[in-house]
Amino acid sequence: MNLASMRAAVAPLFTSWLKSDSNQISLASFLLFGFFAALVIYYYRVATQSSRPLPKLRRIAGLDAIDESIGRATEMGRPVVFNPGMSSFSAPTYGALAVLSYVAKQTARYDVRLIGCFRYPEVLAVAQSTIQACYVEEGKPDAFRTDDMRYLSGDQFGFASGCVGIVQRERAAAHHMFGSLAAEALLLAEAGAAAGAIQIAGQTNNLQTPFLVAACDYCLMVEELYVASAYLTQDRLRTGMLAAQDIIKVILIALILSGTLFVTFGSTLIGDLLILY
Amino acid sequence: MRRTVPLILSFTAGILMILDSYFKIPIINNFATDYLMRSISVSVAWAAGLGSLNLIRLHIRHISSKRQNYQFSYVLIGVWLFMLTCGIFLQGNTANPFYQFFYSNIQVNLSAAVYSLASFYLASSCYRAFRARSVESTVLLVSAAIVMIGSVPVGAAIWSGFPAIQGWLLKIVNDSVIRGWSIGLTLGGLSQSVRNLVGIERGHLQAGE
Repeated sequence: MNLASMRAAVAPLFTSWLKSDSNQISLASFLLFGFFAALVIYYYRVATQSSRPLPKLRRIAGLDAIDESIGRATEMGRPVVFNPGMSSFSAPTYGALAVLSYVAKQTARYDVRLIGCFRYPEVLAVAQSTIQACYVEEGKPDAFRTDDMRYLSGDQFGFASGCVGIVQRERAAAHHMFGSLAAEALLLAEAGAAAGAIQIAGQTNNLQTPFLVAACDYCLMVEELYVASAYLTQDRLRTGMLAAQDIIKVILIALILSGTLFVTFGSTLIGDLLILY
Repeated sequence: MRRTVPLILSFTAGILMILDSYFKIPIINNFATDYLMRSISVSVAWAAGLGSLNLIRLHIRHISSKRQNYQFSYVLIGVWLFMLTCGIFLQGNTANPFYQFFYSNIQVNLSAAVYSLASFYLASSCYRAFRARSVESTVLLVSAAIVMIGSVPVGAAIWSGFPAIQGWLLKIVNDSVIRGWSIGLTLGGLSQSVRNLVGIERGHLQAGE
């Protein structure tokens, strides 16, 4: 049975209710998402029962270094600069905001000045209320400074030059770059290095990772940014989600390996099944 | 209340967008396209005003308290007011030639100038990174040197094997690693989105706990 005849046989089952995209991977994507949702529900139940074990998170040096960098800022009496990335609300920005809430609690606890640089005003508004709440939670509402939450520019390099200026003028002791970064990543990282700041980067742009590995003291790799909130809070619910994510990853690795084997022996069955509808 | 309402709103909007992505349900498809997507534009437009207010308030404080380099705040507020007035009141708004003249001849050039600094920063960051301090950094140093030599004509002139090794490093080693990253990032993003959707992730809703 070739691909065209398989597609013709499958299409009538789904065409009335399931959307199809140009790559014909709607069915595979839908099934994978459905399985992921089922895993999420399963691990939610596991996580809410404290007697049931969850996978342990391995050490992530970049996240451990957050406390070290804030400690250094405390000793030096210089500020921490936090940059939550170049995108508006998206998964990397939410990851960055999760880290920001932890950083804000620590800076409030140790009386360190926290400066936020923002490209999108909507992110600024949410981050500002998050940070303010962290300061209130730590019992230091007066230590929060609205002036330190700065909208710089909507323009990519306008924002970058503003951020570079702040890092260097304020002589930041720690420079945290999380979220989604683009061509300005190296400008920001080098500005921090010139100011002598401990730099921790965690971002999701594959093209920028090599620059940040070269220029920063610590760099979170790949999806470690999304692990940050679970790692920093050691929260069982969030850890459970990571377990679900890892199971999907194992399934995808198995698909890639079996697809490679099938193709090696002259069969395109696995690939064909993935692009049925 | 400050947490519950945003959670309910984000859960509802998220579920509707997922249903819209996968299923052919006209009422949901239309609602997602006509209302939800437009509501993003409306909220972003309001947020733009908020950003401007933040910026101007900060620089007015700079001026009023005569902080260091407060003179530049005059420039920023002046330029902001000028471009805002041109963009709103000139015929054609931002498409007006007068507005475009300032945008194309100042803004674009300044952005290009800042971007061009990246090449110098690249050299200084490579100088710090490419040092044989450990096994990993030595591998990085050697592979970077091969890729650099293999990318320029003089590399092929020295030894014809350099471009071949460079191609192997980029196409086999580098590409496969990047694809692995992409899968991890997609799954991580999906996991983050699901955590936001069901309210497990609350870092952006006040203090997170």
